[in-house]
Amino acid sequence: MASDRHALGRLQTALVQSLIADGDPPPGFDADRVRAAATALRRKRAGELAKSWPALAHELAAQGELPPASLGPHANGRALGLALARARLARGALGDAAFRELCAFELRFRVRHGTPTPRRGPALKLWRSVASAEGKGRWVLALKAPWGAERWCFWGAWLR
Amino acid sequence: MRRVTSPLGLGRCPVRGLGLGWRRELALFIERSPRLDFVEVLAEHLDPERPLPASLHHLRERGTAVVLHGVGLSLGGAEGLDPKRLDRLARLAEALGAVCVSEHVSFVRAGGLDAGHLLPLPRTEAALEVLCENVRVAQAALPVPLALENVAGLFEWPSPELDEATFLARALEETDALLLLDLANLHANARNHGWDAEAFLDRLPLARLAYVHLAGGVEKHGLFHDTHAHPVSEGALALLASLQRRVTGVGVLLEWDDHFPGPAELDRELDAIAGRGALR
Repeated sequence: MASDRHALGRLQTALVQSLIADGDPPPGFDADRVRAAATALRRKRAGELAKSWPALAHELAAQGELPPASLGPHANGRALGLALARARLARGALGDAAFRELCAFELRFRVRHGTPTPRRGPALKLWRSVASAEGKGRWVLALKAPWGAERWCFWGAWLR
Repeated sequence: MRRVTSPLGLGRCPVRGLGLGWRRELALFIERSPRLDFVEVLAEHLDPERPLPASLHHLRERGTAVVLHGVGLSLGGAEGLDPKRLDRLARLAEALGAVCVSEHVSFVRAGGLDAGHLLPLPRTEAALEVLCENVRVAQAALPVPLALENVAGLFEWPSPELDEATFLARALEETDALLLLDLANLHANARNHGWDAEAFLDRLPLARLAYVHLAGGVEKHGLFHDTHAHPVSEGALALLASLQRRVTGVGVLLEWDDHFPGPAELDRELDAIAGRGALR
């Protein structure tokens, strides 16, 4: 029955919200167990992130952070890393190694509707990192040839 | 104890012997392992628009049976199935020449949020009805039989109306689906929730058994975590021996998804599985 589906949908949504937002679980659940599951989810995300975004994963780990439990609508570690790296760059919190990782990723992958796929053709990209605690802002220009060769130009000294 | 024959003899899901989950990191090991009778390919790792990896072509030419395994269909989701995901699964099953498709008795998204994880279902009549409706939709779209897998969970839904084995058995009987029995998940749930694993096996319709999953896990802070990145636990292996006393001719597949071991350790894990019962 449609009403049963709606009721089940509300319960499932409340549970997922509590898992990915670290909120209180819906009534009746063992809160400690749901929190344990939420932590396990974030550790799983960290593992997935480390596979395709090692510098970003290292940066998060060094700061004692775990990635969010939800992968978002485009569920994979690549897309999660891209969203995290861009968000950290926008607020000046992306370190040098992770910034270079983001530049390399955006040169090598095309992102459509949040889903990264490898670029087959040529690409010319320009980035500007904002000043962060780690160093001042810089410009990066990169060219990718159709056969995969890359040329990189950096303006502004990497301070570390 | 009555021993049953798995549906392999009926040709519904012709996998038998020893299997290993195909991952890019394990592709070379699998190609060099003549003892492996079947592999399982993760649907989310392949793009139906792109050519299949050469390793999978090689395995198909060798006659290794391929099962397509999904983790993102959200079969128990109240929102119903995503037609694009289902179509993608069907096209991959065709491209791979898969002998069957397997998915989980779980949900992974709700309210536009994706947990990226297999979450347990409430064991209620209403959830069972939703699951069965979704399974029938999937069966109509897939070119090969569908097998349903039991999942592990660190928590349970409150106020269950059915026990897990009955919930699973009812879903299988009402949809005529096959069973993918994950003994590592059963072991994890038995440890974490105090279930009686032997009673669980007794209540399952084992004549519907397509094949078995085993995978490693680890105990942390008093809970057993199903990691797919550690050796298979002794408890899960003991359940395999127990299952072998109930059913004959079933295929057993090892899943390993992270922190991949070298060939010698993988061989030891496969030896441990093969040593727990006649697989052929």
